[in-house]
Amino acid sequence: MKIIRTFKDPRMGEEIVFAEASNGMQVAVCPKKGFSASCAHIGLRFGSTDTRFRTPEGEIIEVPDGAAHFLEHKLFEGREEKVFDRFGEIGAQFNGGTGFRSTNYWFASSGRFDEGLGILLDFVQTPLITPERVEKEKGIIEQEVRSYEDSAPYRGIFLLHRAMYSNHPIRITPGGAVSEVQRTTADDLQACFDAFYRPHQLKLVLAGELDVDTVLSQVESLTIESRPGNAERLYPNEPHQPAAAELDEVFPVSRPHVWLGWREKEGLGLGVEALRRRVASSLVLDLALDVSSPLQEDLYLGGKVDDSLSYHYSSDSDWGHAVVSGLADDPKVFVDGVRWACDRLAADGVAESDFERIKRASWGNVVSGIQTPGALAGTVLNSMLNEQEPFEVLEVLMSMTAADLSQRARELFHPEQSSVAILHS
Amino acid sequence: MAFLQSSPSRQMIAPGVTLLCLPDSRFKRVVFQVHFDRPMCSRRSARTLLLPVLQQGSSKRPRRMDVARALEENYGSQLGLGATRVGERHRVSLRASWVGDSFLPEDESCLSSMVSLGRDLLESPLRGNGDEAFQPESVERERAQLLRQIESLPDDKPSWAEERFLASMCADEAYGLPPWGTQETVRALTLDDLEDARQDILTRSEVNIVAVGPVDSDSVEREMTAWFGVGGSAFSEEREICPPASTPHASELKEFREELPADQARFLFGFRYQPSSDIAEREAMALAASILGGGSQGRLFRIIREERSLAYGIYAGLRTLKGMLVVEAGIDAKVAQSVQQEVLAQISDLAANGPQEGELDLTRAGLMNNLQSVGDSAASLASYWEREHDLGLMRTPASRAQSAQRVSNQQIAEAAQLWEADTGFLLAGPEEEE
Repeated sequence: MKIIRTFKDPRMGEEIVFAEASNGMQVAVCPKKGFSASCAHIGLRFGSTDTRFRTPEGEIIEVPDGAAHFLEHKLFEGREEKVFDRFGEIGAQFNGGTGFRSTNYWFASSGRFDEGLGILLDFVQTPLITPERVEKEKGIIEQEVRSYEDSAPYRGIFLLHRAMYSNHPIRITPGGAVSEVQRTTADDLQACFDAFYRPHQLKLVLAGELDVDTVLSQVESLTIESRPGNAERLYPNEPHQPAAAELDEVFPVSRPHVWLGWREKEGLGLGVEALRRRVASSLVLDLALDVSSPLQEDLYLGGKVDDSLSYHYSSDSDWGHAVVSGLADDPKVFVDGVRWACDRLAADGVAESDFERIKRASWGNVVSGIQTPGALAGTVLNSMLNEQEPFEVLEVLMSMTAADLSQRARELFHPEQSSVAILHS
Repeated sequence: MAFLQSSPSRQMIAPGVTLLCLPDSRFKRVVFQVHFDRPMCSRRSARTLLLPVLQQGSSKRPRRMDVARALEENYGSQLGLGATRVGERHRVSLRASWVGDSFLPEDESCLSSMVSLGRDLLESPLRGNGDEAFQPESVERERAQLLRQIESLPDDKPSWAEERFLASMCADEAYGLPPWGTQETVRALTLDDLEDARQDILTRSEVNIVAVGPVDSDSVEREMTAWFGVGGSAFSEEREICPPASTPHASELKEFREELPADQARFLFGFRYQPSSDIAEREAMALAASILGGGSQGRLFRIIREERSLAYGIYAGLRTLKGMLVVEAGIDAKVAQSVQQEVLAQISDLAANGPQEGELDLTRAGLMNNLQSVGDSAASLASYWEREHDLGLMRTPASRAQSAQRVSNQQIAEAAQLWEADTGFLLAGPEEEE
């Protein structure tokens, strides 16, 4: 194990040691004293949108939607003993998650951490995927998929994705449709694993009351042989403009659920520029639509939005979009109102006093937001997967100006980049 | 790392007002909560509507925006009012969090300003013209919003299934009442009803204050004494301690099925038991419930999900204040009877034979891990001690761990024998006929 560097952030009161295992696995250790539980998070850039790819050996593979999520389920089955049981024996908490572009697995335990680390690195590196095991899992995943399908927020956001994007696989839910789950085979999942779960693609973050040298030695002893080579993700071409101005769907809801989105023409890749755009976009949304905004106050007092209003900005290397959602008796009133507020902000620009206030709030939330070993490990893993420095958000925040945000508002709230999705009964 | 052995300092600020304070410099944010408990009485609709009305502003900060801006100025502090069902109590909570002093610029501190902000909202509401208790337009706007929220409740199917299940199982008990009342009771509320509810919360509630994190206990005590103590604005000699929840026995197994368009059915199965005052028996009950359905180690998960693939998740949990065990799952409606029979079979087996080999050790290992982890976040510590206070036990995680270590297979079986099947409930789409 080779220690690469030690990163210290006195504002956050955190220290991180970065290292690389002999098989190329990237490792970060965050010593955090005074906590009972230690945890390990491991992740890689392979997610639900990666359904078509060229293997390192040159073969082009296409797998059913939801393959990354299905694979996550199968890894938890372990080889000989279920991962559930193995973690259960040491009393650890554990879980995994599949996103559009990444998959991660974690456990946390108050004792027997070394055993937990052994289990984690075992099931993530050496699964057993058989046709029988894949068939058996289909009923379970089908129930999971169906539970999401009953959720209006889930249905609505993917309806909006389909309005915003013509071909991009972010249009598809991470779990895939039931029919896609049913046609998934063991060969599909093995192909995904072989292409993407290569040791040098894995990022491992350990946090808690840990001795750095000891835990790094242990990780080294648990790693498998390196398998060089990178799969190439093959994504369809995506136009720069939205696929549809508006889509609607009949769904059993008491009141219409409305989503309004603005998509970027293209992504910025990974790294600090992408982070800068994400932070600026989030602040711009706050300035337009947070309860502290006079624009939001106008909408609220005028009955155009209510407390169901919510918003966020989401992005990765090749997409980015702002989403505003809420319940409304008249979707047009809601959409017109939100557009009015965002357009006003873009036209008037960001006042210096508003900017300073919201920056102060964001600074406080970032500095105090990471409290537990689990939160620290998750944050550091996320930064590694996105090729950013840990806590780089603070530098980005402090370097930003009101003029930057005014510019971002003008770019983001472009009428031609906007789509609407409505669920109604 | 050992189990947390210390308890928070516990002080009676005034009759009916308890302060639990646990300073801990490991954390970066303070968690601060003031809980006001009243019975689930006819005033619950007024309390539910009152809270959003109060959050529209105060006499000092007359716009909702002003309150939000004050929180942003306070380095992104958070503060809100909410109401929830806790056993048969209706709990109104002021919940706040803020950055600890050591992470702020020198000489800055949030405690006093945050307490002041919370007090403003509760004690100095925005009044209407003349002698109106509140601004009528503000009340009407929030009333309309609350009515729409009530109307939209079925859209969140798991939550709706839970409410309908409780209404079915506890039809004649306060626990089965929706905390917000009904659309009719909300429509009928007057401004004076809201003011009456506000006074009732401030002067007659049982109050429990919890403060955890990087906070000075003397400062918290000073602030709370100035609020609730003798001479404080919320001092009262009329506070009422809420009675414990009723815990009736089950009579015969009732079964309910309600229809709502849905792809997946929600299944809930309720059991009754009589909570014991004996600490060891309580721990045995908790472990028995975990053996049955506590996460991926639970029998129901292993058998119904892993062996029979009938559900993505199935879990059992205790409602300890009410003496209920509830099994919940998202399933295909066609297998509801199979799932119900399997649950009954597993409970019968656990009651007759106790845990299978290894089950108790596995469950205990998970409990030990959870108890050790309680001290790892201010939020989990606040939640732990709030719950212990509700139960009237104030056990440390260390003492709970000791009790759990002593639980035997026989005690697990005896705990399971106390579960009386009461209500099976299914919320399913009309197309999923069996």
